Amino acid sequence: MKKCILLFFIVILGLFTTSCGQSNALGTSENAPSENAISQATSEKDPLESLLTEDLSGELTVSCYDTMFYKDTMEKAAKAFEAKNPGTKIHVETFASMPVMKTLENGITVSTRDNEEQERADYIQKINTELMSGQGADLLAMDVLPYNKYTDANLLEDLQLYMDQDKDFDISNYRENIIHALKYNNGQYIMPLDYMFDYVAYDKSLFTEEEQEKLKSRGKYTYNQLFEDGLLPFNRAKANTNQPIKMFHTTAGPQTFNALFNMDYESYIDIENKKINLTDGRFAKLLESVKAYGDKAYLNPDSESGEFTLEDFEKIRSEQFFYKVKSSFSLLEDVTRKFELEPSRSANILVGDDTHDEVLGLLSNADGKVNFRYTQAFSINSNSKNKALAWAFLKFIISDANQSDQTMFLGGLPINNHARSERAKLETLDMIQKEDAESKEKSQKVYDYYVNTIEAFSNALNNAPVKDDHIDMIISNEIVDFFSGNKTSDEVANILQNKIELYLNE
Amino acid sequence: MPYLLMGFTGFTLFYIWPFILSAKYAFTDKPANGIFVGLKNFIELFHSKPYLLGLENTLYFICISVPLAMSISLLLAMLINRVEKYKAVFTLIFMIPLVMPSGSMVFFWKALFSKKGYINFILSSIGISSVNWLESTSSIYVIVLIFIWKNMGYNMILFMVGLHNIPKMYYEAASIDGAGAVQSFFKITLPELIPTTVLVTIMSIINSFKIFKEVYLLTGNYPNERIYMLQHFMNNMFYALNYPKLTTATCVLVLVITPLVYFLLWFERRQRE
Repeated sequence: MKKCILLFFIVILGLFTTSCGQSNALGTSENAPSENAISQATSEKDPLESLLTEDLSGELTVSCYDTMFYKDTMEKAAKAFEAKNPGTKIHVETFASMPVMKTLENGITVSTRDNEEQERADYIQKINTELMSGQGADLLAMDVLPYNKYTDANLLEDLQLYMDQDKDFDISNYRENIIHALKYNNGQYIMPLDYMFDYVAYDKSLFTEEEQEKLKSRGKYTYNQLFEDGLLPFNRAKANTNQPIKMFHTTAGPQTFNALFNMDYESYIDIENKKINLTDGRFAKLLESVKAYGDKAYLNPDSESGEFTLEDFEKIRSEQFFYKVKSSFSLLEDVTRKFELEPSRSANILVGDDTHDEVLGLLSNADGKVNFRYTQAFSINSNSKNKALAWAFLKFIISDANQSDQTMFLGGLPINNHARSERAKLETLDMIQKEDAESKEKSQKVYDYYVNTIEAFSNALNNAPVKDDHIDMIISNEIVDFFSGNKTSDEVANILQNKIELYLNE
Repeated sequence: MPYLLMGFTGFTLFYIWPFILSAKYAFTDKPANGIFVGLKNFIELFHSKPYLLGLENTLYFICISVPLAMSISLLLAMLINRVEKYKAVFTLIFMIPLVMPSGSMVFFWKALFSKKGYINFILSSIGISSVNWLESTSSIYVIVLIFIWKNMGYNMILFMVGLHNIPKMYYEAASIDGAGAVQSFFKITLPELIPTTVLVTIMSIINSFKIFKEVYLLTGNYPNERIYMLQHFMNNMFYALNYPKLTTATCVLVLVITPLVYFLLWFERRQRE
């Protein structure tokens, strides 16, 4: 027994000595790369350079979650790539079941998917297990996967190295500010295929000319500014009508809270640096403000059941609102209407009567940060046996030829600059389907205005906060208690501070 | 021997071997393509606030719930032992919690202890302000109650078997010599129950870790700080893909539990001798 204990301690001493040696070699700071790490990265460049100049061959697996969004698009891209590069084979794997189309009582058709949350959790678990065991697909779609966690676990390739080393890659062909805004931990671990942003439109029939001029004088808008600027017309409308018109279409509850919270997300929760700040009073004040907006009737009250019912939907569709926050998807429709043309389709089913809507500008926070998001982005698995092919296929997906093809599904605006203007042309023609001379002339104006607006807005985009689904879930579960009156704002802030701090520091 | 071999093979295949295979992560810096870092993960683990919080809470919970559960179970076993009529019925009643699924019972506990639950209703009806049972430091007492409720039947059965094995002539001889009930308890019952007590202690400590199931179903991955247990830490490490930290925590747990169980069995053997 004594010999066993002695042997045990000798082993421990050996392991301890080894660990100290390793610590000294790699440096003590987690964030700043040590000299060894830098030289390691530098030496990695050389094999990477030779990788990128090799002839493309072999097989590649691309893993995506959403079958509806990805399957056809990726398979089509794969076939085109294989035709261009004989000797290569691309396998596309998707996971989610196809949604089922259902027609509601009011005639609107919606697509639904049963057990979507569970499917998503299962997919993330599957990918986690594969990556942890040193396997997994070569190219991973990052729309539902936590790329920041994979980056922290060194499971993704730093694409900056590829972009720098590949002579055939010119970043000026793409939206550089969007790509760079998605850097994490000083590296580029995801490549977005597209991007989207929110903009504010206002109902010009509810503002006087003078009020409109004052409104349009700002370039970017914070929610607070919009509430302030809308107060006078709101009070006027309140006095003149029995049906008070609301400031925004979102309800005075979690919906509006999330919108406001997301504008300043990183000031509350900095995932990259594992810092959380919910108890300095701002978070509690934010909760109270949203409640106050409901008390002052600026916003519709939250549904008692907490769910968005068919009745809520019907009500919102016909209501007027002072402001509407719309996604970039709706911009062409508003621009078309600006030139007194009737759009052939409408994406605005949830933002009320938009007959008098005029584009105002982008939403920002008080620090000037303008958020955007992506619907599709890809990363290269650091376990991949064919990184060169993965990079080549990724470049192909974001190439002009691929992204200009309107049959290739993209959830937002293409990251490729030329493809963006090409798609805008096709979308404008699709939106204005009239063939007469006047409409054709106007459609050119619509296109020019639309493209200029898109590019002006896109230039201002500078922030895509790193978010965590789990943290969002913790927050959404807790704030319900505040809005239902079960807890005070300070209680909620303290509970969230403790829970999220625990989560981030694990 | 052949029967033991089958069980041992299964135990090795499904418990020992996976543990050995996964233990390597405790000595690497990352799950995939990691490099050997010796004891660095262990050193970092003991600097990790969540781990230390989980460890403190788990030890606190074990120190309160295990002795309490054992005392209550022993008391119940002794009471039921004295009952002549309907002994089986009483035994069955206390065994029911053991067979009830945790998922179903969570609904009941939530109804009792949520902020607008029955307990707070009773408290407010008698003029006492309601308590946030599940989201305050009081949550530990709820968990202790759940643990006792769930495990007292099992411990009670073990104690009843132990009590049954104590020869009655010891008590008769003691009563002839003038020993009272208390003296008989401390001089005869407790010493004779040492083997059973050791077994119950080991099983209770093991079962104290299983309370995580109820805590998780009641309060999720990140409960109030007071009931954030070691298992929460390990479960969350699994989902966060932090296999090095997970396996390091597991290794520490094995290193602590193994000598503890060895000590208890040695103590029992010594007492028997």
